[in-house]
Amino acid sequence: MMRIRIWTSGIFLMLFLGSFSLWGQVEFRAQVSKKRLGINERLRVDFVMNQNGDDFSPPSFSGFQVVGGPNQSISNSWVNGKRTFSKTYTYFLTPERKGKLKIGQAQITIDDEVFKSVPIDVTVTAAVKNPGETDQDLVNIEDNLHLVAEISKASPYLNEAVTVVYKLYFRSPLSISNPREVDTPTFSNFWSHIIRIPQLRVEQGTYKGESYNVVVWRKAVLYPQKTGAMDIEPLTVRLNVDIPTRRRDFFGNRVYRPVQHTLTSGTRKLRVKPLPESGKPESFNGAVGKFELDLILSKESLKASESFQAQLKLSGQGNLKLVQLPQLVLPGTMEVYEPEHSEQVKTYLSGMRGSIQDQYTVVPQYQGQYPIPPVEFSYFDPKEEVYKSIRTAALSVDVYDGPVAQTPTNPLTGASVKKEVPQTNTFRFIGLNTALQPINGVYFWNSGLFYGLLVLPFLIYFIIWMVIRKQQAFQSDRVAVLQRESNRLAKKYLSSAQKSLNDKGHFYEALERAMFQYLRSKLRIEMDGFSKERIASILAERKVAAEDIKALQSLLMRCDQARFTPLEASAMENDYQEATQIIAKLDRAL
Amino acid sequence: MRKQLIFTSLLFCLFIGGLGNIYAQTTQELFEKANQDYNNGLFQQAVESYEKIISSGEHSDILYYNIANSYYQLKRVGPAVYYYEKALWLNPNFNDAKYNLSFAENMKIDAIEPLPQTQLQQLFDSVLNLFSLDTWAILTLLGLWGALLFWGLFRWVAFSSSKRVYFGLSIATLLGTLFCAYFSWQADQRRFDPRYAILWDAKTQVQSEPNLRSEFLFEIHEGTKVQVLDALENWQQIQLANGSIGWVKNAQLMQINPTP
Repeated sequence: MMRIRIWTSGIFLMLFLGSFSLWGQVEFRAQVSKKRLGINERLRVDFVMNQNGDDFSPPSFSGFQVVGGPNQSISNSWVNGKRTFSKTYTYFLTPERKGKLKIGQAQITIDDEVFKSVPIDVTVTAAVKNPGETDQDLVNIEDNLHLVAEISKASPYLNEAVTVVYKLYFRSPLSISNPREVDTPTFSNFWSHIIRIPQLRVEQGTYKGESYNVVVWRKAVLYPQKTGAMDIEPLTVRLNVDIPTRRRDFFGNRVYRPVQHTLTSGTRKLRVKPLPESGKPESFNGAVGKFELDLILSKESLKASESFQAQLKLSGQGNLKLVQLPQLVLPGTMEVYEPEHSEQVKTYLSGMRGSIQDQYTVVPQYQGQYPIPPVEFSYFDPKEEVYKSIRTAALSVDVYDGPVAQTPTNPLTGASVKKEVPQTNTFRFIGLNTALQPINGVYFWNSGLFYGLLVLPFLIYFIIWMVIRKQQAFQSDRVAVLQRESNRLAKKYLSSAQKSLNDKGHFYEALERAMFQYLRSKLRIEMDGFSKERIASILAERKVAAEDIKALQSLLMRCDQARFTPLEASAMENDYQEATQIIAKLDRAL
Repeated sequence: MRKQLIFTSLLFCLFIGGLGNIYAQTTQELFEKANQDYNNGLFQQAVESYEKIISSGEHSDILYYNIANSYYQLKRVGPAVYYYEKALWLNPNFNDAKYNLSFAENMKIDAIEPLPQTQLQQLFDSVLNLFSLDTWAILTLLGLWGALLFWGLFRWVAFSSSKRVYFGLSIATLLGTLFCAYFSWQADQRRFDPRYAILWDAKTQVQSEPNLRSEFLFEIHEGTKVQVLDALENWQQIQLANGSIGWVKNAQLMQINPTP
């Protein structure tokens, strides 16, 4: 009963009021959503009138920025034949500064009458947390969703491996779905390798001491190629997030609001240290890590013109794909082909690991011992921060059974330049006997003895010449002596003849006797059978000149004749002289 | 007392004499010991013994040849080539040394093709290498003696036909003497003049000028035979067998022939 009374009185009151407003009053007022707001919040201002009007002019809204509106809305409602009218102009504002702000008067013309609204004071305070949605959302995204780039080392060395792992942290009650990369870092100035993640998996982890769900989004291994401060560009991911709101649905479950959210990992800075200059080995060519070098020969002894493989293998951990293998230096007489390069390198999170190798095919041409010089390789060990040099063991190849050495031909003559054509094709043994001599030995050439022997023959020649000259002089003396001797002989034999120069008969007798006497003594022959012919033949045997023999014969003939024929005294004188001469001549000849 | 003194001094003299005797024997004994070591494969010891002989002031072509063989067995290219060249310097007609040198040269890294020699040069060299310097000197003397003898005979002999023969012989032998004298002089010059050396360093860079600013030309490796042309401070100018010239710094170049 009581309730009915209230109801009816309420209706009466309403009717009364309604008729009152309809009847008399025009209303125009300004309404704000709140009188006190944070600077990061929005303000809604409504200008409401109950009669239709024209020429609405809003206030200046100084200190605010209009972000929305004016929106106009009209509502007509008829209740029990009574019309209720309202027209609203709505503005959305954001404050521009803090402090007390005034929303000024708005004007409207209704039925040729100008109405003004009452100004409203609004207080703007400092920014408040969770503007806007706080009232709706149970949690905010920023507190519960993070994309983080984890870097293994903030200041690596040049060419030292750095790993970057991008992790997505989220925790309930947020749920995420459909993540996709919007902006992928290019890693310029790095050698980069992205490690494939076959399937994204949610794991448990902690972030800043709180437990989260973690998804490892991406792993990359970087080798810095430049020194100095470098940026790692951010990774940007867009994903759908369902945020729980305060609202609940019909069944009392929480209503989730789907939101598209963009996450960025932020720019990370790296300081790349240059490799130290001190102690940098000559053979260093940029390898950083930890390596081992091996040289493996497929054969240690082989026939000439067969081939063998030399495998230079660098294994270990470091920037293997960026390293150039050192060159294998082989003796020039070996034929070496271009090496075959192969790599077995895998990239793990800790960096590249594996081996690279060069395989050389070598064909020795000639027999002999071929030393293969050790190959040196240097690298920088970033852990110990020192350079290290490694070298292969010195190996040698024994080549047997083949030609000994190259015989380059002389292009001018076409003949072989090489000195020897060896008979046996083996290395020769040492010599077992030797005559050692002093190193600073005196040479015969240019020595005193040499010059002595050079001058000596001239000396000998001179001496011999002198002796010969002396002898010749003596010889000519001897001729004179002989002449005198023969004259003396002739005189001795002819003296009796000379005494009887005046006696013709005696003279020739004496002359003939003297001649025979001389010949007998000279030729040492018996007087018996001593004829002129015999004398001539004997003298001819003794190589006496023929004219002398003839002269002797004619003289002896004349001696015979003179015994019987008269002769002149002058002829006797002549014959005497002739006899003297003949004796001298014969004496010389004999 | 006096007798004792004499006795001790005599002993002392004997001891000293004995020491000297041991020392005197060593070179020949060392050589034989080294040969045995070589044959037993103890090449390093053989080298040491052989080099002891050299440091005692004696040498021979065979000695150098044996050292070279030992170094070859030790696979040390530079010293092996050096000692073969040394042996050939003493005895240019040492065939075993030439032969084994070709083995040692196979071990070298560089294959340098020598410049071709003209036929005249080859002929000249082969004539020059026919005899050693002293043989050339003896031949010179013999020639001179012969020429004078024939001249004397020419003067002596009365018959005109033999006179002509002796005159001709005399002139011919005189020309021969001059020829031998020229080759003796050449052989004497050759002892020092092209200063050949062998590189003992593993490798050395050759620059175009004796400073590090200059252009880098090429690299030579151990065992390379070079001709030393000039020197400036610690730089040496070298010429290779293929004719290229350059400067090397602080290189361990072992000279084959002595400096005069």
